[in-house]
Amino acid sequence: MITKEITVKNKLGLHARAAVKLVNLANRFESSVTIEKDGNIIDGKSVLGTLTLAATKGSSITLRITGKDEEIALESLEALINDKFHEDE
Amino acid sequence: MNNIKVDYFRVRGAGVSPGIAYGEVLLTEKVVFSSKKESITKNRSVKEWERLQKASERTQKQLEQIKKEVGSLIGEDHSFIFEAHLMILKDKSLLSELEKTIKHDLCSAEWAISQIHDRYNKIFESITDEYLKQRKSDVSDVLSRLYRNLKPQKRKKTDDKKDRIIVAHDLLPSEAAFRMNQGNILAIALDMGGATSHTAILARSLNIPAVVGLRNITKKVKNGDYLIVDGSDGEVIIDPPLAVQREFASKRDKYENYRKELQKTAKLKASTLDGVKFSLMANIELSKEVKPALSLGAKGIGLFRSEFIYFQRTDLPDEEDHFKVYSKLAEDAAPLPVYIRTVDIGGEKSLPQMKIEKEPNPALGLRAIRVSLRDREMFKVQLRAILRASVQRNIRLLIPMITEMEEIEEVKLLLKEVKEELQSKNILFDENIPLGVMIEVPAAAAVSDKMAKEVDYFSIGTNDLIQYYLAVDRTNELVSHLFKPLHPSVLRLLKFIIKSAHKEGIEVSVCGEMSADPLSALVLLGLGIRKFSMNPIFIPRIKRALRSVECQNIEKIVRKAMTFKTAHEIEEYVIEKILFKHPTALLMQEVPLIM
Repeated sequence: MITKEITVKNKLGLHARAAVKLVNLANRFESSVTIEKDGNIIDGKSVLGTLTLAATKGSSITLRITGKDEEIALESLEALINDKFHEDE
Repeated sequence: MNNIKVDYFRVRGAGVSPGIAYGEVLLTEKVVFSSKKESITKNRSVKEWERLQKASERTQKQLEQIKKEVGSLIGEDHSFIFEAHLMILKDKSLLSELEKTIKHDLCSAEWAISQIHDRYNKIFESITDEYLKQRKSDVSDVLSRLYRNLKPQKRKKTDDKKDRIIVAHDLLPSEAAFRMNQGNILAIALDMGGATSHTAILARSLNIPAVVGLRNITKKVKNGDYLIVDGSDGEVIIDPPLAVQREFASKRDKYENYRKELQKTAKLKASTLDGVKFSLMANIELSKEVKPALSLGAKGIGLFRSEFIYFQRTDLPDEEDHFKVYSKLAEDAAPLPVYIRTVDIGGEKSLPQMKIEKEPNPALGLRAIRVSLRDREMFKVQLRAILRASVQRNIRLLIPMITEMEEIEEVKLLLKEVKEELQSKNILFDENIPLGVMIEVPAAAAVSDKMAKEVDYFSIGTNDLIQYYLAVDRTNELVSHLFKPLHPSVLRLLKFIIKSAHKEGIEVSVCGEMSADPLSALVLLGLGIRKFSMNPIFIPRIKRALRSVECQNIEKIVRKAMTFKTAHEIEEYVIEKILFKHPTALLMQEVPLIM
C-alpha cells in the first residue's frame, strides 16, 4: 500500500465534474483507492463518496492505494489533482 | 364583504428571455418521498430489491436518452451533468446501501430510497462550502427519478397538451429541453437561476419568455393559478386583476409589434435610396445563433468567433469537436457565407489548457495568430476541421491579428499542407476556400496595399484597430473618452485600407462595433464599405439607417469631412449634413430588449 497526502488546488474543489474525472480515472486501475479527509474515509471509485467528502480548495486529502498498479495509479491521480482537474482556476 | 381584491403579488426576478405571457401555472412536481415504513416479509424484500433494480435500469435508460438529447440540443458541455448522474446512479455504495436497507430493515423500495435520500441530505447539509452543498441536488435528482421509476407511469397526456406556464424551483437542463421541445410552454418562472443559463439560452432561442431568480415563486403559487410572466422586465404577477392584465396585454402587443417590425425590416431590400446595395452580416459565438441572426435579416455570418469552442470546455477540443460546430454553421447558414475566424486566444482571453503564461501586456502579447503559429499542430487541427466542413462552399477562412506579410505566408504553407493531407486521403473540401485576414493591427493596415495582393478579402476589426492606433484602452475609464472612431487619423487609415482592397479587387468588410453604430456605419458607407458585420440585434437599425440615405450624398459628405482636423468637427459636420438631407437616417431605433 502507498499513501500520499495531496492538497486540492482548483477553485471549486471536488465538485461533480472533478469528482467524475477522479473516479473515472481511479476505476481504470486494478488497485483499490481510498480517500481520507478529516477522518472520513471513502471509496475513491465511488462518485457519491467523493462528493460527500466536501473537499474544497485548500483541503488536504490522503490517497491510499493498494494493488499491483498502485504506483502508476497514484502518479496519475496525483497529476490530475495537481493539474486542477484541467480546470481554469 | 368588500369584493375588491388587492391581494395579488408582483415578484421581481431576472428577465432572461424577453416577451410577455399570461397563463395557467404548471408546477413541476417534486417527488414526495414516502414517510411511512411498512414492514414486509423476507420474501417480499427480495421482490422489492428486484423492483428497485428494474427502476434503476429504467432510470439509466432515461438519463442516457436525456444526455444524448441535451448534447445535441445545447451542446455536450451541458450534457456532462447527466454523466455525473449516471455515475451516481450506478455507484456501488449507493446500490449496496439500498440493498442493505431493503433486506435488513425489511422495508419497501420507496422507504429505502427515502432513507438514503435523508442520509445524503444530512451529509450535504453539513457541508459549509456553498458550491459543494448544491451538489446534494444532483444526488436528490437521481434519487427522485429513481423513486418515480419504481412505478412505471405514463404521463397524463391531456394535461401535457394544454399551454401552461412552467413554475419550478430550478429547471434541470433535461426538463427544460424536454418541456420546451414539446412546444406547449407559454413561459418559465423559476426560484433559482442565473447560473443555470442553459435554460435561459434555450428559452431565448425558442422565444419563450422566462424570469429566473424569483426566490420562492414555487411557494407562492399553486397549480391552476394564473400568472403574468414578463421576461422583458423580469417580473411575475400572481393572479393579476383585470386592469393589470389589460396593461400587460398592451405591453405584450407593443412587444409583438416591435418583433414584427423587426421581421418586416429583415425582409426589406438592403440598398440605399440611390440603389447602392449593401450587405449586413452577424457576429456570433455559438452555432445556434445562426437562425435567430438570419431572422433579423443577416445575410450571412460575418464573424464566427471560434475561440468559444475552447471557452466551453476544460480540455482541448479535437478535430471532430471543431468539425461538428463548423458543419452545423455551414449547414444552417447555407447558401449564405460564414466567415470563421481562427482562434483569437491569448492575452486576457487566456486558457489554462493552452498553457499560455500570464503576460504583463496581454494586448501586445502572445495571442490569436501568434498562438496558432506557435502551436502549429493545434492550428492544423482547426484548419483541417474548417476545410472538411467547407464542402458546401460557403465557408471563408479568416485569420486574426495579422501584423506582417510573413505570417500570411506561413498560414498559406500550413493550409497547403493540410489540403494535401486531405487530398491524399480523398477527403472532400472546398479547394478554393477564400482566405482573408483581419486588419486590426495598424502595421497591417499600413501595408494593406501589399497584403491585398496576397489574400482574398479583408475584414477590418475596428475595435482593436482603433485601440492600437490611438493607443487607448476603451475599457479604461480614465482614457476611454479618447477612443474616437471618427478621429481623422482613423478615417485616413480606413480610407487607405479600403482603397488598397478596391485596387486589387478584393472584398473588404467591417466587423467592429463601428458597424453597429448608425453614424459610424454611414461614415463607413461613405468611405466605400458595403459589407458590415455586427451583433445581430443591431442589424435592423443599421439597415434602416443605410436604407434612408443616398449613398452618393454620403460619399460627398464624408469626403469633405475628411479634410477636418478633429473628431469633434467631423462628427458635427457629418451629423448636420446627413440630417439636413436625410432627417430620419440617424433616428436611433430603440432596441428595447436584450435578446
